[in-house]
Amino acid sequence: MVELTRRPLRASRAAVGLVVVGLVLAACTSSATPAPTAAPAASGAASGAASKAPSAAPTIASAKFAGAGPVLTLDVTKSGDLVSVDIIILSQGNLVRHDATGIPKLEMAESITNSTDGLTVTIKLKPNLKYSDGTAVTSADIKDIVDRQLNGGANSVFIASVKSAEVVDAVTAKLTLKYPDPDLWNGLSARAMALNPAAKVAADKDYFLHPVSAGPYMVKEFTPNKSFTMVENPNFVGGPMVVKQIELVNVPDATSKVLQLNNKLIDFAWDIPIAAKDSLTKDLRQFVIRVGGANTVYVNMNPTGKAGSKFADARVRQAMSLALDRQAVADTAFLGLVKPLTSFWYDCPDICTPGALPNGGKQDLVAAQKLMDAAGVKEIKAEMLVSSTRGGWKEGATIVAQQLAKIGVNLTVNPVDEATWNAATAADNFEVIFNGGATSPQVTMASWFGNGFSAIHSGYAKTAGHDAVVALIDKMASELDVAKRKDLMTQIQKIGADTMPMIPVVERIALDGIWLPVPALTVADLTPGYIIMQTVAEQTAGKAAGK
Amino acid sequence: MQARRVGGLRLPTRSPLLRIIARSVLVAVSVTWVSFSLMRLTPGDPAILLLGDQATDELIARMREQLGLNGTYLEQLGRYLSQLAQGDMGKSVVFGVPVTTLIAQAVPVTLQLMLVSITMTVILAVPIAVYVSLNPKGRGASAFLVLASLFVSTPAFFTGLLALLIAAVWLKIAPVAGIVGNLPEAITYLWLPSLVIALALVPILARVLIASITDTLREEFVEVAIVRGVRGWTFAWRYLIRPSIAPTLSLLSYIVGTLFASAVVVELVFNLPGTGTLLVGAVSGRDYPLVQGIVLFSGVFVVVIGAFADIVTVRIDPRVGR
Repeated sequence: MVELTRRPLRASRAAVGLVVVGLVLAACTSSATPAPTAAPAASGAASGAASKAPSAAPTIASAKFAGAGPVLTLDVTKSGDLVSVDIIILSQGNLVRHDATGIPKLEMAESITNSTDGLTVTIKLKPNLKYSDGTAVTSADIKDIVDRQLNGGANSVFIASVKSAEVVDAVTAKLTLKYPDPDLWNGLSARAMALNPAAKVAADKDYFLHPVSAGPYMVKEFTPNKSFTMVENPNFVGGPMVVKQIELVNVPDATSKVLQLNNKLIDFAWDIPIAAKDSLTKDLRQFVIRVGGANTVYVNMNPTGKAGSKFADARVRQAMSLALDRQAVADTAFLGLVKPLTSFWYDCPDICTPGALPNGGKQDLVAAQKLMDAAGVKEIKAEMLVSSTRGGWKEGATIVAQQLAKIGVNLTVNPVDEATWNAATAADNFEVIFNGGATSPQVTMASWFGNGFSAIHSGYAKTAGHDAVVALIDKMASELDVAKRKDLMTQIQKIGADTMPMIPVVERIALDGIWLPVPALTVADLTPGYIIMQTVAEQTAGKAAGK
Repeated sequence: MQARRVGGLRLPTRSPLLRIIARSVLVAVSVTWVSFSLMRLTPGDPAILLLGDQATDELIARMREQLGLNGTYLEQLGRYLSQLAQGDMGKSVVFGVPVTTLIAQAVPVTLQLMLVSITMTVILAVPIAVYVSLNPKGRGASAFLVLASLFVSTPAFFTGLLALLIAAVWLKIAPVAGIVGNLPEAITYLWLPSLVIALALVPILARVLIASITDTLREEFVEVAIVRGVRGWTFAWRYLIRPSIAPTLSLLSYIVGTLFASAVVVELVFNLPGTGTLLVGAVSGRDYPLVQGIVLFSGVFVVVIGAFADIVTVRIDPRVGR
């Protein structure tokens, strides 16, 4: 029977084969199909990146940026996530904007002056400022954003020193502070204080789906979780921009991001997996930036919570710090792209204190073992949570665990998603977390050593002598003299080295890649990290060429 | 319509449509409750994720209230079911827009991916099944068995990455990622991810079809057809495939369920903005209403497709309905 049917079916098999081949061939015409981005131009996927005259900055009609995730909201009072903040910085006006070196500079504010006691700050806007729709920017807009932040805004921590705001005249607003705040200019940057017309915000509940802009770009199209495009704002006080349009794409899968970057489907990618460094095409410009003002990847122990007695003795924590070979972590987990830390922060130029860690951050296993013996602890077994998605963190945690095993601290590395370790921290339900910090040194210090998130939830705020640290942090928060601030910072770090609530390991970095024909983008020393997109946009606008 | 009584309840047992509706409602309720409960049991808090690492306890509490996440488990479940009864799936706590809007944006991509995947699966599986059934001891049958085991046991993310490497990077015959437009022009973006899904489904469909065709070949009407001189496509379709197709139709709901599951991985690898990608983001961000909405939609969709398959099966082979 089988033999009987084979023959008649031959023709039909051939037909089916032809259909399959036809389908595949039809599909394979994709090689001639335009990519889902703009057509490639002179460099990368940027379209129109052609007019690069020697005397003028290049203009780029359109570019595609891939951030670390989708834009969640354009309302800076609703989310502290860095992708949204990055975009808000670009698409809304700021009183103060960080420059490429991370220094806050006046943008829409003509002046910001302090009273002699430091408790009143007067902000005067530049004359004739306008939003993208022609509406005048007024001091009422300053009061509005202060009020909204102070009323439970997601980024209110950055203007924690502000008690209230009032309108003096159309272009002048007055802030009343709870204490003098040398860090206020950082707080007045877009992370907390993006300006929008107060009347429109109040009248339209969907305003932040289609906001106007006083910043470098204005929103052209925003569909949450789908698409985001912004175009140059002709009324921007710092314009014009050379990149005329920026489209933000969300590429959740790391491999896909690398492939798209290599194939020039995106022009700039932030936070490429470090492990993919050698997979990037040679033509692509790679660069590394330190993330955030704190710039550290660290090990956070829980001295009083679930782990209780395991890490209660400060000598154990000091021993753990001394047992670390930070250079090995930097070289192996982060492919040599980061520097090992010698203090609680990177070696910043103004208020940091290099070498503040015990033995300057260098490994000393003998001293570490002595401390363990003095504490009477022979062995510790604990779980170390680590983000499963952050580049190099799992590897870093694994190396740290191997090194700490040499002094009897046996940590089981448990990679979990971000929500899980955030929740574990908030619930005081962890033993050890391999973590990273990313805000200004002052805010971070309050978080780690003062009465902030980390200190409270790791139990450090309950430890003996904590009040003394809090007093120093409060004093530093209102100290306007840089030398005195550095001295206070040194004192705080000294206490930190003695009590060691968290063990700094290496700098925190992000690996980025860019195809854009940027004239002079030197970003190796950039800080803080969240200004990178802004900086890329500004640099491509020719500002690095001395504009 | 025949009916039976259970307690005081008169259950329509003979009406396929009513059975389907009853089953769909039951599944929808179960899926809703399970997804709601699982998300609450999962560690993580969307308020903390939204606020970032500088959140204070006070801010977290206020944010939870703003997001409607305050109250006990039962209070939250009550609120959610009450909303759902009014046809409201709620708002995404992460994006602040209605869940239905986000799902409506993503569904067309997933449905197109599923359509192309099913088409590819059928186009590949049917001829393979016929060939192997007629040549059960040939080299082709052996090769099929080996390849089938290989593809069924290989995870979709690995096959996807391999396919990307070969087709998109080396051969450059497929785009690296994304999708533009809709079918039919979007076929250029969908054929490779669909092929990845089809490679896992073809062995399953083909095996069922092979078993069914092998049974059919033993039927008298097949021999009669051969004696009568029926040949070619007429023979293949009327005497082999059609009588053998009923068991494969019952696989349809399984295939659709598998497609939804595969879409999660494949959409991520190929950067397609469908329900799979949406679900991954929603789970990562602990976006409870969005996760619940996607799971509910997928569950009901699978049930409806399964019911449709049941009806068609009965139409094709009335013995099944008896």
